[in-house]
Amino acid sequence: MSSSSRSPILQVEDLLKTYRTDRSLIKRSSVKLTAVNRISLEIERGEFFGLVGASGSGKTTLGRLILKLEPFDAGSIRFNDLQIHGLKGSKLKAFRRQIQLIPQDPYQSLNPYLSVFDTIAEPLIIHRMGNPGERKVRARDALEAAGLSPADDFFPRYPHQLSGGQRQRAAIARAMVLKPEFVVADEPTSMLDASISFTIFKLLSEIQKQKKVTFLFITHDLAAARFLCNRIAVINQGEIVESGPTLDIIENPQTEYTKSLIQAQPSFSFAQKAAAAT
Amino acid sequence: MSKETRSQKSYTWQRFLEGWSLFYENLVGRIGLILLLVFGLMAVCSYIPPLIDPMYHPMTGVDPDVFRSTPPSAAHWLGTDNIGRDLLSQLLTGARIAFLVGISAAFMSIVFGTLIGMIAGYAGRLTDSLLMRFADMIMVMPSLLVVLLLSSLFGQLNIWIIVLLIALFRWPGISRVIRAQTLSLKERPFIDTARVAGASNLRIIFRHILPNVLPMALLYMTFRVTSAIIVEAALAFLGFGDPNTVSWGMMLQWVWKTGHMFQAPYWLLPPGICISLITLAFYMIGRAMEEVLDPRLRKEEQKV
Amino acid sequence: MTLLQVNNLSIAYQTRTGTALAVDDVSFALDKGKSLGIVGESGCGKTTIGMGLLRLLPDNALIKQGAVLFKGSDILEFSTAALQDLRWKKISMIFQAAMNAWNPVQRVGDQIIEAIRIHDPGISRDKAKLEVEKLYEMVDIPTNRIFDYPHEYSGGMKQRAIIAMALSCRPDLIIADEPSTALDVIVQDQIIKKIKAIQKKFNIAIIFISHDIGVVADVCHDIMVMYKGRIVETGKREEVFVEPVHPYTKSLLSSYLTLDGVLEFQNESAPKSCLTSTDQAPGTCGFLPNCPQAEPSCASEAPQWQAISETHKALCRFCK
Repeated sequence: MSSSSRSPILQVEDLLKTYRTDRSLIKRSSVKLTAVNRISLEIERGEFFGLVGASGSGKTTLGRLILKLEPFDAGSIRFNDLQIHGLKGSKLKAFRRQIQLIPQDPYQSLNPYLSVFDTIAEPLIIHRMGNPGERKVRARDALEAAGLSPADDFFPRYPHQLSGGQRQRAAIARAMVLKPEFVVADEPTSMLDASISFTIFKLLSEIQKQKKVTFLFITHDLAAARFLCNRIAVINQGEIVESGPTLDIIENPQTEYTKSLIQAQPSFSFAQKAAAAT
Repeated sequence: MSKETRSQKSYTWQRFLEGWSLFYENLVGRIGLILLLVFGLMAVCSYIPPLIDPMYHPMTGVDPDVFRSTPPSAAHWLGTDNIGRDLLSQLLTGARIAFLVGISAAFMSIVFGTLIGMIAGYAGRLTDSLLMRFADMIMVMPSLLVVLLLSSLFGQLNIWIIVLLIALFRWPGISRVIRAQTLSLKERPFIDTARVAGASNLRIIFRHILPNVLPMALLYMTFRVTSAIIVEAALAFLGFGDPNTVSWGMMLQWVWKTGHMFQAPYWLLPPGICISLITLAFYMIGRAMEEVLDPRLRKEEQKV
Repeated sequence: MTLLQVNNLSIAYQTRTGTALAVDDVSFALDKGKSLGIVGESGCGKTTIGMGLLRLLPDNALIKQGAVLFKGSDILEFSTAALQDLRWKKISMIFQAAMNAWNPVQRVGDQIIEAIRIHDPGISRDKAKLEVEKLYEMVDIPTNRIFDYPHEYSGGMKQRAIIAMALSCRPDLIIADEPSTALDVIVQDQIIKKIKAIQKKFNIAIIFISHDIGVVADVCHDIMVMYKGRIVETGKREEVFVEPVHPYTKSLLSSYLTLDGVLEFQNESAPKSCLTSTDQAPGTCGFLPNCPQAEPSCASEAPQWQAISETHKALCRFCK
């Protein structure tokens, strides 16, 4: 037990993922696209780790590989010292209970035909946890912890009756209801307004502190990573170009790519100048 | 309180109510529905004439006073056929048969088509290719010709066999549509979250994909009803119908066979008009449903 | 010189359940060569204003009142022909997903040439092509890519080509509605820089609509903050973003993340309003249910415009 708490929760080594795109039917040639190119990284237990990159950098693919939503070509992913490649049956189910996803687009991430209660209780039913009464209690706790209370008012609603922020809170409750150790949050607010994003970020950091959950936060927004993460990795074209403590990287970037990312960030420089002047 | 009870109704029910109000605003849909109600009434009424007098039985009842086809009269509102059977009661029974054939054949082809479409779309790869090539093969077969061949081989076919054959030849179109929908649903994030939560493939197909493709399946069912009724009528007219049932196609065949084509318009026209109108009714309902389901076809777009 | 003057514009949408007011009594003015930013959350009516200025609203929208004076004549009174002449030539628009608006089976260059020649049939094809080359240089796309198909362009290039097309008729005003939202940070930065440079170079006025206050602050001289269909605060960007007075603007700014952390304008532990929206009279402040500095009288009296400086105004009864 003590050994597992000291070792990293997630170890990615030399991970490779390529996609084949068939260019034409006549010529049997196919082009290989390398989405994840020999990536290695370690995530410590209980940390808020950020993966920052532009669209097409391979950050979402890496998240999907870790969640075992897609197979990879070479390398290894170890979760709690367990190789996730080739997991089957009860071991796969146990893995699925410990690692969850908060998806990108709250408008697409909830099944429109399931009520909030059915959505949140589904993971519990799949893993045969508790009787209906206990499930209701756990679902209620999860939803209220995600900031939708009283839960009983929200249980009978359907996704189209919720605002964007409320939907994302329901999706967070669904991810947290199994009490996972590790959560992948894939750009959870890219479809939301800044003010709503901010409340979601605050919720995530609260969850991480209270429940001791490890987060992998995938984003293109350095400012959001700055707010949430203690450590980040910058990813470009399938490779990690730089990683380390968040503030170090933002204040002292080592690579051109990171510098360009920082520069592209809209800033209130004029505002700060004016504020400093007064 | 009222707000809570409203939100407690399932999404399916809400979508139905919302769709219904849109449907009802649609003139085409309303006409189709009224036509369909008239035919439904006819089908229900078909049980009444034989109760009044056995001579009104559409198949076996013969008016003892009539020896040839007669035009409409007080005793026979639509007249009689050449052996004295009442045409009105035949027409009413025909409505019943049309509903029976149309709806059961369409329902069966929907069940086949939806299941095969979902499996092909969700499984992908080899399963998908095999199922879809099979569907293509059936789709290009001239279904009427094959049914004609089968019935000439095995003699007269029972009405249920005809229904089954129509269903077996009519699912590929539906499975293509459902497969396409499943392919796009499969990429939706809620399928990912279900898989991450540990849901099995069966659970994903039936709990997450099925409810989302069901409205489309129901829409295609209305179009399939139309084609099933036409196929059955064609078969019956060509003499390959079930000789023990009275369908509109059968009535047309009798007019033809007894040489009354141009002598007895009161006999020829009602079943012909009925076939046209009932298929038109289902088609109109389908078009209106399509508009409800596909917001792009709607005239007013709600955008704020 | 005032280029565009909007007076008391109100736009409503007719839905099956009733009418919804999307733009409520909005007035503003824009000088030649200036840029105006409209900021607000989704659904606040900012896109509706942009569409309303060019009368590109969907069929179920209704302009209830107001006037849109462009160089002194009211666009809302224009005939269809005059409107056609105005769009693109005098006022052009860059939409949010405009990069997806290219016809996939036509070369991009041909589409721009066609647009030029529709509005000015006197120009020969060769001359129009030269014009397109100039435009491409302006937006930094290699001129040998002019006759490529849209799918051969990257997302940022497609959006820059849209900007080139918007500039093709040398308009006096460009309305840009979230022109960079679907793009990632680096490309967004390129687009914003391009828009700024072009605005300076040609002295074109811009109305820039976005939910991202950082981007708006980067581009625009003047800012309007919109909430639930109304303008709640307006002024120069230094005034609105450095010394915001309206509680909504403050809350908007306090939730904006930058690389230096959160912009601190407001005490986070400020008490939420204890007033519920149910006891609110119609026409009163829309932000009341969330306002930390509301007073009971806000629920019965309509908010008033308060002038903080000559250019800085806020729609609130207590802002000073």
